[in-house]
Amino acid sequence: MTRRAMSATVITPLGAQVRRDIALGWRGRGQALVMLGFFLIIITLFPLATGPDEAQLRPIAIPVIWIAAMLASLAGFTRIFADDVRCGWVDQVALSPLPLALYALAKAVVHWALTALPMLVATPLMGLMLYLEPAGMPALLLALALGTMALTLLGLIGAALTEGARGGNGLLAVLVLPLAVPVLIFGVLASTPADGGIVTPHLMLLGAVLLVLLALAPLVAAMALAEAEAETGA
Amino acid sequence: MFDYLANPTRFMRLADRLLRPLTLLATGLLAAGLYYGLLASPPDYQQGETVRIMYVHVPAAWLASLGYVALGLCGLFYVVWRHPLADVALRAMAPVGAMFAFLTLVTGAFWGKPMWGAWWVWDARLTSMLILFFFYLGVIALANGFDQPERGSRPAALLALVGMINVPIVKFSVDWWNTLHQPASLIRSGGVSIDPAMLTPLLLMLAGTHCYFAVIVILRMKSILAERRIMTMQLRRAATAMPPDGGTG
Repeated sequence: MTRRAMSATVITPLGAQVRRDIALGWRGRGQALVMLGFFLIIITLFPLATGPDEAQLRPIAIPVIWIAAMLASLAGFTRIFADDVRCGWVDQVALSPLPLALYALAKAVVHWALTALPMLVATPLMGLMLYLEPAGMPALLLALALGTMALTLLGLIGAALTEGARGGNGLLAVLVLPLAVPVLIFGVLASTPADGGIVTPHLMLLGAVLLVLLALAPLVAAMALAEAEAETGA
Repeated sequence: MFDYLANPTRFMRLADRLLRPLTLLATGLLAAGLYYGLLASPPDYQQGETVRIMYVHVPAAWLASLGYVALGLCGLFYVVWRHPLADVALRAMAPVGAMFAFLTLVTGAFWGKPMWGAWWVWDARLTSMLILFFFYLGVIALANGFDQPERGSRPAALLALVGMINVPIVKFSVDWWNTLHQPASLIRSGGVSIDPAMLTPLLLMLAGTHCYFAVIVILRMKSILAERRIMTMQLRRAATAMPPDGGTG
C-alpha cells in the first residue's frame, strides 16, 4: 500500500478517532476524577482496617496500591465502548476504512491516558502516606505504568465481550480479574527495585505480558465488537 | 469428521448410538477403579489410607485442565471455522469442567487436612486451580449473560479462546509467585514415581472419568439442541397463531 493510500485509509481516520476520543473524554473528565477518587478511597480504607501502625502498613503498601489501581480501573471499563455502540458510532467505524482493531487500540490509548495517568500522578503521594521510601518511587511508577496499560487492554477485551450483556460491572470484573492475575503478580514483584536497578526480570515479564496483550486485545475486541455492532444494527 | 458432525441431526444420531456403550464403559471403569482404589490397593507408606483421595482428586484435576483446553478448542472452532455445534459443545462442557475444578479443590482440601494440617494452602497448584475455576465461571456467566439466549455464544467462545492462551501464562505467573514466596513447609503431593499397584486404579479412574465426561457432555449437548428446537417450534407456533389484525393479548 502506498504511503498516501495508507495515510488516507488508516492514519487520518486514526488521528481523527483519537482526537474525537480525547475531546469526548475531556468533556467527561468528571468520570475520570471519580475513578481517581475511588483509587484514593480504596487506599485510605486499608489503614482504617489494619490500624495506623507503620510496621503493618509498609509491607502491604505496594500490593494495596496495585489492587486499588486494578479495582478503580475496573470501574471505568464498561464505559469504553458503551456510548459508541449506543449512538451507532461503532457501525460507522465498521463501515469506514479504519480497521475495528485500530479503533479499539485508539480507545484503549485514550482511556489509559485519561484514567490511569491521574492515578499514576497520585501514586507517589499515596505511597508516602503508606510509608514507602521515596527512593522506591521510580520502580513503582514504571511498573504501575506498564501494569495499568496491560489492565486497560484487558478491560478493552472485557468491555467488548460484555457489550450489551446484563450484569454490567460485576460480569466484567469476573471476566477481567482472573486474566489480570499475571499482571498483578509480575507488577507487584517489579515494583520493588532490586540491586540491578529498576529494570528487573519481573519488569521484563510484565512488559512481555503487555506486549502479548497489545497484539491480542485489539483483535479480540474487534471480533467481539463486530458481533455487538451486528446485533444493535439488526 | 467435524464437518460430518456439523449437522445437528447427524450429531444427535451418532450421539445416541454412542451413549449406551460409553455409559457402560464409564460405569465399568469407574467401578473397577473405585474397587481397586478404595479396597484392593495398598495404603501409602507415608500417608496411610488418606492417599486414596488421590484416585478422585487426580482425575478431577486432570479433567478440569483438559476441559478448559477443550473449551478453548470449541471457542476456536466457533470463532475461526464457525462450526455450528461448537457453541453447543462449549455451553455443554463449561459447567462440567467447572464442577470438576470445584471437585478438585474440595477433594484437595480433604486431602490437605490430614497431609499438611491445613484445609487450604496458597501453593502454586491449588491457586492455579482456583483461578481456573474462576475462568470457568467467567465463561458460564458470559454465555448466559445476554437477554437474547444465543447472543452469548460468540463472546463466550472468544473468552474461552483468550483464556486458553492465558491459562499457561497465569500458571507460569503463579508458579513464579510461589517460588519467590517460599512457603514455610515444602509441599509435595503424590510423588513422581508411583507404585504399579497404585497406578492401575489411578489409570482406571482416569479412563472412567474421561468416559463419564464424554457421557455427560453428550447428554448436555443433546438437551441444549432439544431446547433450541423447542424454542424454535414455540416461536413458529406463536408467529402462525397470530391473526393478521393483531393477537389475543
